[in-house]
Amino acid sequence: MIKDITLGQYYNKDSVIHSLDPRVKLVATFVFLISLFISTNLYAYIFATIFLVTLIILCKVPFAFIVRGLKSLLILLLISVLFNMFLTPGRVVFTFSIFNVTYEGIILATKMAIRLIYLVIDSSILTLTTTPSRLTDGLEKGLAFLKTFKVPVAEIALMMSIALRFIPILIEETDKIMNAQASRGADFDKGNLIEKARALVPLLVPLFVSAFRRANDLAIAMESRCYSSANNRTRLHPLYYKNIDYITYIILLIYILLIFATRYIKIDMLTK
Amino acid sequence: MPIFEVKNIYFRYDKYDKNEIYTLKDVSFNVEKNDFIALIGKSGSGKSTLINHLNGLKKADKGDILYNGKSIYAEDFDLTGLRFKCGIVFQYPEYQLFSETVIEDVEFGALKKGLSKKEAYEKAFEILKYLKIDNLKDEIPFNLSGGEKRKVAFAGVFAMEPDIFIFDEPDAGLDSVSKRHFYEMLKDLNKNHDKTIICITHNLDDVIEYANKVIVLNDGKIERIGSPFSVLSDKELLKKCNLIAPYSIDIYRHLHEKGIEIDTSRLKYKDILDELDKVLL
Repeated sequence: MIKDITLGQYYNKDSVIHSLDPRVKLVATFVFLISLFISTNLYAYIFATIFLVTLIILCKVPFAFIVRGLKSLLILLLISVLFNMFLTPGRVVFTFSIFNVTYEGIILATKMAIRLIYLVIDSSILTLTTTPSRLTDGLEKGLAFLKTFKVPVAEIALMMSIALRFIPILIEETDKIMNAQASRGADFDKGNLIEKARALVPLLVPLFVSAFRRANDLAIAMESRCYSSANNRTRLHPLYYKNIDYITYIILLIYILLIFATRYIKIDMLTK
Repeated sequence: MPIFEVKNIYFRYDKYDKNEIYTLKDVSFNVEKNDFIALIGKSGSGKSTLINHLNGLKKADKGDILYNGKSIYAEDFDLTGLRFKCGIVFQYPEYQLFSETVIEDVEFGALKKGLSKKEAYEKAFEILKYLKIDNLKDEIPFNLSGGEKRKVAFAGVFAMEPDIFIFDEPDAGLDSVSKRHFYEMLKDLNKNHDKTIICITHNLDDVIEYANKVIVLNDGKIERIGSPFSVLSDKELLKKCNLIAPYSIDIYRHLHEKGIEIDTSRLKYKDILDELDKVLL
């Protein structure tokens, strides 16, 4: 399960999505996120699905690898679906024990599940196709206008990039500690849920120690190389928009307009 | 019957990418009882990945591994039992230490093996004493130096009393005296206590000094299996695998070129001194 977390991992491939400017990818992720939450009907979800499927195909990251990240979300997904299904008032479809499953509940649960799944896949694609340094550059340049309001954009971007970079490192370290314990007789697969959870407790101490140590090492390494965000830094590969980036912005604009349009299509279809 | 029979195993880390290169390709070899095997090869050749297969921490994509004639991938195979019999000391000891004190960490395997708390404590303390680190017993493992951590990691594995010891670059971080002491201890375990040793190392002088069999891994494939002399005197092989011949082989070659022959089955440090004495005196 630990290895199934794909968020924060970079998957090296030569694809159009990989080559896009990180700012475009950040905007695209944000636009897709908004589109999911303003989607009210089936048409909007169809457009969102087409958008996401196209992204998955274009990014060339194996589909099985992307959806692997969903495994770790299964419990959250299940809780969200069950709560929405049982606790939404409306027309009762069937009764399960003391709970009434309503038509509105089923619709809402399905919507929530789709939103969550699409959200994780979309944000995973962002990190799978963008290296942490490109992501930082994108964030820093994309939010540069905030500097006029004295917002420490460079520091925020760096913090986010380090946090992202630490996710796969921590996953790998957890895996290594689990291996070390397994090789000395610990069994993480045996026993009931409580026993399994208890077996995971000894993982936390070394994991935290190692995370703090890594953070400290990183801080020392940065200090020793005189890291400072105070001066205007130059970059080896400065970000410039290419034609493909402008085209992507146009596609994103069309996409979000289409999603907005579906709100009115729905009314027309229903009134007819 | 060999203890381990590794049969044509293939392994790749990324199972999702069909173009991913295999880290291990068609690897086959046997481990006999009382072997002292040195596993050598350049960095990234798949040595650590390979040893993780031997106690089932990694599962081969293709091929099989037999332990005492039984597949470790069989449904009814007791993998935890194998892990007690086959102890691994990992490359980075900090991953192997996870308890709050040194003694608790060393006890871990013994407790999992079913020893009582008292027995496990006694066993752990005895081993710490044997390794001359009993003064560290109440220390927090994470605060120790690299070499001390490594010794505690050894102790943790010793406490399980395995029949097979697997070491991943055990000499990294050890000072020269500790290193010599450690290898002499391995030799003692191998010769006098019938323990089988598999050791990944980059130090080829130690290979010729202690090993009876050498396995050379190159880009995930077995390049050669043989006696230390047959492998380490092959210039082409060493060049191909990015390795440098140990000093003893250099001395042998140098003397050979001068027309002085020495017994190639005796190329250990002390043997070479004896041979040189014979030649010089």
